[in-house]
Amino acid sequence: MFVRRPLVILFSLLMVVAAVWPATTSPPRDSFPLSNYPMFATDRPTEASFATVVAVAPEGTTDRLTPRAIGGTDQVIQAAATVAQAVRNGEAEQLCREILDRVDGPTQLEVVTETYDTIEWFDGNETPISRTVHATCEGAS
Amino acid sequence: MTGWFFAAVPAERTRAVRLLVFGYAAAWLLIRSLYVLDTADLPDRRFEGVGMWAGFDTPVPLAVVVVLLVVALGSCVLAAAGRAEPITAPLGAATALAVITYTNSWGQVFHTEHLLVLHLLVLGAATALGTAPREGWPLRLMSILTVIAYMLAGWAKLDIGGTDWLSGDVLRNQVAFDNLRKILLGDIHSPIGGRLVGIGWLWAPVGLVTVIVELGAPVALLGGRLRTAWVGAVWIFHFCVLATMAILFPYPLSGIAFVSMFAAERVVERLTRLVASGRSAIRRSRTGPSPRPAPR
Repeated sequence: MFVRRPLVILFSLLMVVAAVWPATTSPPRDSFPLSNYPMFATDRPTEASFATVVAVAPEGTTDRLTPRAIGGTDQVIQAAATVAQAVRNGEAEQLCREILDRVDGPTQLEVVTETYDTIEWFDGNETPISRTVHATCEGAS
Repeated sequence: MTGWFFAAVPAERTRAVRLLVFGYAAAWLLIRSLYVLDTADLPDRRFEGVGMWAGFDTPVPLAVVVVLLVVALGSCVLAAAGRAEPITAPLGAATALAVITYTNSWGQVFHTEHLLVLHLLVLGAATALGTAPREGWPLRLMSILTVIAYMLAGWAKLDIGGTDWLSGDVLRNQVAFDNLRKILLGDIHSPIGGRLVGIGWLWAPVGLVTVIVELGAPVALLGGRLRTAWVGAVWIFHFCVLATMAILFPYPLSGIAFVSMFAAERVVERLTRLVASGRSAIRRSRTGPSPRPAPR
């Protein structure tokens, strides 16, 4: 059974226009399933801040939590966005408590923003340029 | 131009592409089902609807998403198998779009699935429009959408990163930032990428080649060696992204993103022969060697 050609041409043109459209808007749109595909395009400064949640051991050392512990899924960008959103909205304390309820083991957590020189970090300089603690929470030991 | 677009293809080719793309979608949905279940435990405030879910302020009940997921999975499996395609192909495409868009509505847009969904929509629409398997336009349209996606990615790098992208600084800083973020959030990162950010001169040529390959995507539509070379270059690009940033783009890395550009029926033939020879080998190992005929 053959399709009428004009209908196919119309559908095809619509798909092509839809695919290109996100790049033509101002600002360009990054959505789903249409996007301008801005992956890896953003100019990140070498000095960058990272909001995260860490477990604090009794002796004062910190352990990194996984994306699942922080954000509830295995997606690292979601975990980062979760913490950033909480810090931005003044909900760091609430997030701290939510994570504490979710994880086994750690009894003290900190919601922090750490700033590093990202290039020098891989050269061995792992000391943060700055560190801000937004919230601390403790559970029963 | 329309001659090329509407030129006939072997019916087996369309069936092979449908098998591979819907088959991949079914496998992807199965793997992502765990993530769909994960979202049920996330606070409502984390929901940021995109695409078809953009009008929703809060997530829908999990039961709704699970039903969509089950229908999508079943439809994609049946469409891959060539069963009741006028129903299963468009239904699989539509429900896969709904589920995958939903998984992209939790604060992160995954750029790994755009092309898959666009390809499914083309195949689903083609079947719904009663397109015969010998008609080549669905495969040509899939190839055009693939080319557009890569061209847009290349354009975005220059538009957003500007000349700094070509100097290599943007790419180097991206690799460093992405890996450090993964380390600080306890995720798998790339030690290779971490080492390479220390090699400053490396990133300008890598950035230049990346943009050339992406903006040069239209050569793939010319077919032949240019098409094969371009697909090979893109595959290497995705492999390097995996190696330096531990970021997996499974659809292009599997090769299935590009099957519309090739004689896909030969791929399916080879896979079928491989499976058949594997089965024979297993049968032989279970039954042992054939008995020798008794001497006369």
